[in-house]
Amino acid sequence: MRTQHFLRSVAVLVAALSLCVVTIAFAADDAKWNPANVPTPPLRPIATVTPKRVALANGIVIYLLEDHTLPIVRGIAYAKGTPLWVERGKVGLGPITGEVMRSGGTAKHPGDALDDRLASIGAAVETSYDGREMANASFHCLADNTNEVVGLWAEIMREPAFPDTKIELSRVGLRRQIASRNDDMSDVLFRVMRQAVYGKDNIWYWSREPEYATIEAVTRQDCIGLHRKLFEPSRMVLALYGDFRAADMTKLLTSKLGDWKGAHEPFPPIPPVPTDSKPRLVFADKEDVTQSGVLLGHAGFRADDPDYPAMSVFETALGGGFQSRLVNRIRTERGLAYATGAVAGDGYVRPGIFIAYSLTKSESTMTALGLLRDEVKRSVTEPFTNDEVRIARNTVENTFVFNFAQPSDILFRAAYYEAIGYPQDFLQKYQKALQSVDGAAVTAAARRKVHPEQLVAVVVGREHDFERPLASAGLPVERADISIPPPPSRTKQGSVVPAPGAEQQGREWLRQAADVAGGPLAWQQVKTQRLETSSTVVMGGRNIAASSKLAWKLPDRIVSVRTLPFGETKIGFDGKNGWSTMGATIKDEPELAKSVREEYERSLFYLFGHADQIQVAAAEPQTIDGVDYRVARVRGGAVPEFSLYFAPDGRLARIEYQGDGPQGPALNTEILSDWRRAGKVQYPYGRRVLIDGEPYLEAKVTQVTFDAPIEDSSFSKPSR
Amino acid sequence: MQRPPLFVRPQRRARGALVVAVALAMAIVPAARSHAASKSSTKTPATHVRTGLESVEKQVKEFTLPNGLRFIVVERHQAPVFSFITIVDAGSSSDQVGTTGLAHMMEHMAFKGTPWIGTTNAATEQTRMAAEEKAWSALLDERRKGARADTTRLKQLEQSFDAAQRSARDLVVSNDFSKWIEQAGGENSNAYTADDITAYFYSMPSNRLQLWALLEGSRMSHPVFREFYTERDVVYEERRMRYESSPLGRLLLEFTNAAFAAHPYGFGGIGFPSDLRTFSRTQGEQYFRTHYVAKNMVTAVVGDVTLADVQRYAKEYFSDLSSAPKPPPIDTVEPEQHAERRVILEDPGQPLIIIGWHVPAASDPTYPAYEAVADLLAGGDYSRLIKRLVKEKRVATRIDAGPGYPGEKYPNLFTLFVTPAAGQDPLKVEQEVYAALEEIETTKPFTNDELAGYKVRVKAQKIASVERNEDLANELAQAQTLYGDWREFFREQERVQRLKVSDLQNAMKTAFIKSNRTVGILTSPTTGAANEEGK
Repeated sequence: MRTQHFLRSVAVLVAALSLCVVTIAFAADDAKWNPANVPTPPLRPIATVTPKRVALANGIVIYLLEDHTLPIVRGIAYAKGTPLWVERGKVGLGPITGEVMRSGGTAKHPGDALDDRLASIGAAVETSYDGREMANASFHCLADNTNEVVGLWAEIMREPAFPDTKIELSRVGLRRQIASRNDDMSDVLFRVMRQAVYGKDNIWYWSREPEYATIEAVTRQDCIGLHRKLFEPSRMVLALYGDFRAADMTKLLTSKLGDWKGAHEPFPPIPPVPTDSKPRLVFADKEDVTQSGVLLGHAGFRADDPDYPAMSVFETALGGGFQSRLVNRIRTERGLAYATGAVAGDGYVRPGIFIAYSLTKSESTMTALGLLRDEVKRSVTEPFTNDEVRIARNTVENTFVFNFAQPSDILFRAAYYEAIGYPQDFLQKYQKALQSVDGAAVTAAARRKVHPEQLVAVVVGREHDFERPLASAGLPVERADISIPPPPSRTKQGSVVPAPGAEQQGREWLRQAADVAGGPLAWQQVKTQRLETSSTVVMGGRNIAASSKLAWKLPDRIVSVRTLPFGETKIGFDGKNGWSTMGATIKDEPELAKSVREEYERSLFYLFGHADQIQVAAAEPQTIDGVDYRVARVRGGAVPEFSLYFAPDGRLARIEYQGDGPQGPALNTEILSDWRRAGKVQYPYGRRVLIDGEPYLEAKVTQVTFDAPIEDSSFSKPSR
Repeated sequence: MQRPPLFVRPQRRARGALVVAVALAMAIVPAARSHAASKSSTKTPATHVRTGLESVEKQVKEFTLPNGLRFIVVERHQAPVFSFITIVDAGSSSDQVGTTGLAHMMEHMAFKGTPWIGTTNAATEQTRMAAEEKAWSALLDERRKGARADTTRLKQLEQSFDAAQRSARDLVVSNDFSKWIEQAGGENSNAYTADDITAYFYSMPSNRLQLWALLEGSRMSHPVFREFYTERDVVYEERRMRYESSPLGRLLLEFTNAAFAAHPYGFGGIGFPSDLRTFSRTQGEQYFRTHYVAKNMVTAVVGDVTLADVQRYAKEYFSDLSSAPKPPPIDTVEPEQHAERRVILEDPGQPLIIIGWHVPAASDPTYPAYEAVADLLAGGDYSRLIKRLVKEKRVATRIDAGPGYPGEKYPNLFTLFVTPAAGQDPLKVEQEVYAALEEIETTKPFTNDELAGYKVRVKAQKIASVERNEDLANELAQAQTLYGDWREFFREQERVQRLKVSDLQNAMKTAFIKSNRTVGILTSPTTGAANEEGK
């Protein structure tokens, strides 16, 4: 207990009046003003509130809680996710999908109209996904508009339209975020920390860091696919609160969501979090600050770890407020920081990161780092005093009641726990476990969870102003590169990025090329194509002769026969199922739907036939073999972005895209030549294909026929 | 988890608020609204508008202590917790030349305790603090001599000052006051200094009402401003964090300093560096004595309490507050601006644009029109500027708008914060803004439908803002400070309902003229124009 000793002389105090705002009569009031003398009556019991739980036949779980105090209704849908669903080359797909689900609206309620309608009734529907463990879709409205807004919320969840325009708008927002990501020192500090603790090639690091190139690579099809995985009815948990009748709301939700069938994509296990960060000092230089960020970190633990209650107390005592060692030592006593503290490293779904941090002026950077290291080490080697533990435990226990401050808190937490697979009584068990946390328990838990010798130190600031060199910390120094990779237009091969407002230009070029080749109408009118070619293929360093026959009922029924010296291969797609044959072997090809769609969207039938509707934007011109080509990017649709090269005479000369090569993904370049009249159009009779810039195939059209009838049966998988 | 006391410039969060300024804060705090307590001119005659809040209004009770401190109480017994807020009707606009940053400093000082909280020996401590003050005074005097200072004496004085500080610190029980709040289960304990007001707030389990009254009553009436000079360093770190190490912070200071020639709104609140290094505890006490008086403060309590208990503890613990008169408002009126002011900050950060036009104080009858304009310009995806510049032209990724920068009690600025899209020239984007505004003022004025939507949004936001105890307490205390009557929180909607499109058009016509504006642009150092992507 603190001891307080007071002089009872008012005279002394009057003499010291310059320091006191009001004359203090110490005499009889000491006891009155001492907080230790204030009794603490028992806390009134917390009233239990039990939300109603309903499960629909398709697996959607709904928690409902009525509250008629205010005429409003709110709700949220939790949708489980995993970073495994987004490949590294497309990071940013998560936030884009989360944003465009709402901004793009649905076919029935396009985004802009939805914006206006919801605003006019003071309501909102919001969606978001950070690319990690949980996506959500929420709404709020005045009670009068419940039916309409719940209907819109359900529609957004079920059938978002993902229009290309809104995907591009989302990219514009992300580009600014990427460009600004080094502007604020604390953003840099925590990003470098994640990189240092997880490693830059670990999914838990890179899944949070979109780059210009990765957001360019995101397509509409990607968004549709990710949405379908996330918003899987059998995994979703909803919670609704407010001025409605549970029976009516159940009926409404059943009618809006009950017949929703998901794709039942399996949910992969959460990737493990690395626990083996190498102890070192990672430094990132930032010139435009007068204050550094300093922190220590290593992998943490999950909230359902038995050490969580004791570690909550530990966190409070080490760095959780004004009672804590860090705040007292670094902020209050030394004036070295405004912001300093620690977190134990608990995470609900995935383990968190143990962090002790401080922001301090450049000239006290290394001092603050030293103090942090001392205190973290001390927190494990020197047990907290009984006083420290008592105050910290009281803090944690006495704030417990705030988990129940509003009935809506109870509701949304119940739904969240179910969504993440935590038991409904998790909090109550935590509270019970706190009762046996004493000094020994805190020390034991700290020793299991905090390892000073494994800590990575991270420093961000203006090195030039530090009071001592980085090496003085006695740790190996690693310099982090925080430079932002430039947008793809600056890389040598592959993608080019259109400048804003270039769509007008790109469309003009495409239209011109279409016109030279017969005009969009003529191309649109083509219903079928038969094509025979003879070609030379480069295989294993040798030139091999081949011939092929293609029958295509546009857009998506196709069969192609290729004859090579060693045999004949056939590939076909009948609009639903894909197949292939090689000799006597017949195989199903489930990936063919995607390939055929992409073939179609890169074909002249589509490019020329729909020249006015395609999203194509002018990009930087390129000179190849002495010829100046105008280049444009086609985006949107099922196929990832690709480039069109237009020759000086306006003809389409090349189509270039990221596709497949003999050894995996490769840059494919198709060079078109020898344009001749065929039916109502001009068709390229010469074709060359380069793979990663190297010659792969050279073909000549021997015959091309348009609109000859083709039997549907030709596209079907042959029977054995 | 506790957070340290906080300096922030919160703005109205409802309708067209400047969320960006709030983004400088580490914690989300309720909007600060503060007006001259002009009693009759802004009160609304009761027009009947169904707000959904009728039952809430009936639950509000109040009483005033003999010293003038008003309490507002709402009993809500669904959970054993309560929230409070105390608002002092003084903020950093009460700073003076030479001691800028003092209002904010005293907010930090209000957490340092009392003679009974925070020290092992109050009387001895006072003697040592007196010595510390003397040592500081002597040191400052020598420093003032500048180049003519005696270096040996200077060193001696610095050592004496350090020693005096250490001696005083020996008697300190560090952060004792905050520990009492934390260990009792105090939640979301925080405070902020805005230009118009200073606010203190947290929530407590309801069996701690008496403790709460002791803590809040004693720190406001018997504070001890211990560790003043170390805390000055902490405040300087806060300045470094918010304003020196953040591109937005850097631009905001330049912009604010330029927009006001005379009124303290132009100081920036955090304090100029030289003042932060020289102001003294004596000066702080003077500030506190002047402004932290009962008639200048209001306390709202919402939650599992009874009116009778609050009255009882209020009498017991808050009666020692000074009953000195409420200090007068600032007489300085910002003179009319006759020339556009432009601040171009060449900076490594990504481009930003801030445009501010002078508009009247919130007590002016035209003020609600400015709030409506802000919402229809940049309140969301439905709003004009966001539609034009973000969704259609894609030259900006974010726009925030609102009157009331940096405060509302006095004539202030209607500000637009615009975040240009990557690769955009901020000067060109600025012109796009003016073109869009011009169009609204001439050929495409706001429509009745748009205004009707705004009125519905106000209604919905107000209902949402009373749901949580801490929000209701905040709204009532803000209205009491702002209008001199908490009932205005419920009446405000009537002013909004009466708005006509012509009010909004007139407001724009009056304010949005070139000679009335200050523009701050953050741009790339290389060309001063277009900023490079991917820096």
